[in-house]
Formats: sequence, structure tokens, C-alpha cells
Amino acid sequence: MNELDGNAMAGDLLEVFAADATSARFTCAGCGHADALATLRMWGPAPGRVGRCPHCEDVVLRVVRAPDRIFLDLRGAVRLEFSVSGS
Amino acid sequence: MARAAVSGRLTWRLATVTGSRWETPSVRTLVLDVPDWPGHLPGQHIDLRLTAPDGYRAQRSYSIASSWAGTGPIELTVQRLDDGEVSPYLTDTVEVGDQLELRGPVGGWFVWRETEPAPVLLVAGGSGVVPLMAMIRARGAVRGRQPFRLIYSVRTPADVCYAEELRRRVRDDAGLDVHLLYTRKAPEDSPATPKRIDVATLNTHGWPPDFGASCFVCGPTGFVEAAADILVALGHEPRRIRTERFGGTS
Amino acid sequence: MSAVTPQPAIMNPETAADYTMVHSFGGYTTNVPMDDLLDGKAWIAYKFDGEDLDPEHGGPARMLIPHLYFWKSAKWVNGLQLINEDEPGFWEAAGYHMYGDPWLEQRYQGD
Repeated sequence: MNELDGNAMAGDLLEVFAADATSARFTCAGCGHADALATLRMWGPAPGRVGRCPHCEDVVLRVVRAPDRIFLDLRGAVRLEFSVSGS
Repeated sequence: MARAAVSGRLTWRLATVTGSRWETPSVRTLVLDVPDWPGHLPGQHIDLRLTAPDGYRAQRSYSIASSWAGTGPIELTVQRLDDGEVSPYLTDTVEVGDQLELRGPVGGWFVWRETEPAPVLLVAGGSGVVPLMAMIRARGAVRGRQPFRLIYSVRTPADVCYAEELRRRVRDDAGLDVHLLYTRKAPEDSPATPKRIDVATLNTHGWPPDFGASCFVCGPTGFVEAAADILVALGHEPRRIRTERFGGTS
Repeated sequence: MSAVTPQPAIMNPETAADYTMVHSFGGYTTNVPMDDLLDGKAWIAYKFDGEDLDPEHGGPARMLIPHLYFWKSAKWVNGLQLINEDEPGFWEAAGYHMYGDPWLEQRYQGD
């Protein structure tokens, strides 16, 4: 298992979100650090992907890809912040 | 072109290999014809999926090496990893006419947008040069005025990808600078001694921190962390530094 | 391969606890019913070919539960916790099946 970063889950997340999610900012539920999902330290992809906070290494998200489902566990993030064009 | 980054429906498609060339003895560029390719931004990648006869699947991400001109094929540049599961197949087995299953483009964070006026610093470790080359090519295609500096770390002179093209671009464009850094063996006629990425290199060949440059760092995990740490220590704003780790250790 | 059954590790098999949580280094956990660990159904492996088990294969000690899906055979085990109610471990909470019976293809939640 190689340590990659959140850029590597751009494809998986694009199956879930309508736009690229790697630019979305997470706030770590453990330490409060905030940054783009692309900066998460990623492990996996088996049994699933784990994204850890680059600051405190707590698990921020988990992605499990079943043939017909995607599970996204985000309990390690207080929230996600997506940029959308203003209206 | 921005639509490429916001496409909601991501499907696996079959791409046909229409050409290939060797960049170095272990790095090969594949030219792919992808039906209905929506276009892509420099820095984006594709996910490639190989399925063995027994159904076993391996999936890897590869940065798109080419910039998008509105039409035509895309290019991937693949480094053969000796213990790799997928890369040796792409470098040593795939032939023109073969088909590969891929999806993309994906990734919207590690991307250079030509509307950004800031100078750009590109820091490449080994095969990490691939997405950065897409940025250099995109800037060339739109005749971008933003000054670009590339610091490219390789083991030996034989490991420099796109050597000829980089020389030509530097020669023809005053706004592009390239500094090569050798970690194992420097060229015969060079006074440089082999060394890894360090403060002196990034300080001398990068942009001063108060220029507010956009920094893109790509390569093996250890390289990316070392380079990014140095940039922050030199005073670059962390939010202006974007990184993409390719895995591996050094 | 050298392995021991978890039975000696569980001081009193007649304990009222019906479930266990297997803990691994790094904070990973997986839940297994007590019954699936006893009577030779599960092993804690610590040597292979006479050598200490390689970290790449789960050393110093890993769980081996052949009758369940492989993610239940936790690597890098550092603790066994007895619990009264079944709780999802790390990957079960993220979508994997609570039990994991390959004969019933119980890979994911809801299977």
C-alpha cells in the first residue's frame, strides 16, 4: 500500500459528487485543521480508502467501493466546504 | 474547457493506443485516441483499469501529459516500476492498436488555470514531471505570459524526460526557466555535484516568496514532503503550494 | 506457520460476552462473534517458515479466520476486547458487512 494523497480519489468521488470534490475543504473533527480533500494522506484502496488529516493523522474519511454502491464515511470531518459560482 | 472539471457523469471508456515513444529507457509515452474526450485541464489525470482473464482488476491513476487543444488524442507518460503491477504492462507489453479502459479527466485541485496571473513554480521529482509538463505545454499553447520556473530532480542525465522539448521551449521562450537537479550522477561537463532537493536549490531557482507564486510539487511522497516543507520554510504561503504524491518512498 | 488459538487468550470462554472487537496497531478494528474465534475456528499467527511474521503479512501477530472474508483476518493485532453487543469495527462502520460469511457473499452492509 502506497501513501498517496486525496488527488488519488478524485475519480471515486466524481462518481458521488456532481463536481470535483478534491478541491472541497474539510475541517478535521479531531484537531480542527482545514484544507483541501486533495491534501489528505490516503491509504488503500483495499479494503477501502482511508483519508487521514495531514496535521494530526486522524481518519477524516473512508471510501468503500462495492460493485453497485459507494460508501462514504465522513464522520472524521466536521463539514465539507465546496466552492460554487456565485449567483 | 472548464466543463472538463465539473462533468457529473464519469464513465469508463475504451481508448485506443495510436502511437508511442520512449522518453527514457524506462519511461514511455502512450498516445491515446479517446472517443468523445471532453477535454481536460493541465494537471488532471485519468484512472486506468486493467482486467485480467480471471476477472482480477488493477486500477491506477496516470497524469495526462499533453495539453488539450480542443481536439485530438491525449498522451500519458508512464514510468516502469520494477515491482509495479500495471506500469510494466504499459511500458513493455502494450502495442499500437491495443485498447485500454480509462475514465476521466479527474482532479480539479492540482490544476493550473491560464486565467491565474501569478508566476508559477513547478517542482518535479522523477515521473512527477508529467502533470507539470502538461502545464508547461498548456502555457505554450495559449502563449501564456506568466513566468514559469521548473525545478526537475532526476537521478542521472539519462533520466530526464522531455529533454529535447524542454531545451527547445527554454530556448524559444524567455518566460520559461528549467533547472535540472541530479541526485545520483551529474553530467560529465557539469560542475554540479549530485544532491537531493534542498533549501539552496529552491531558494536560488524558485521564486521569491513575496512574488505570491503558485507552486506545484509532484513526485514520490518523500520528495514532495521535503520540497513542500522547504517552500514553507522559505516563506511561501502554504495555501499557494499544491502537491500531488505519486507514492513510493524517495 | 506458527499460530495459537485465541482460546488461551480469553481467560474464561464461558464469559457472558458474545462478541469481540479485534484491535490492530493504527487504530483499526474488526468485530467478530466470540463463537467464531473458539474451537479451532480462528488462529493468531506469529511465525511463518520458522521466521517471525513479516509486517507486510501482518506481523508481529495477525488473526486468521479462514471461514470468514479476509478483511476479518486482521493484521498487526495488538488486542482482543470482549464486548456484550455486536458493534461495527473500522471497515464495518465504513460499509463492510458486520459478519462476512463468504458462502452467503456477505461483503458489504445490506448484502
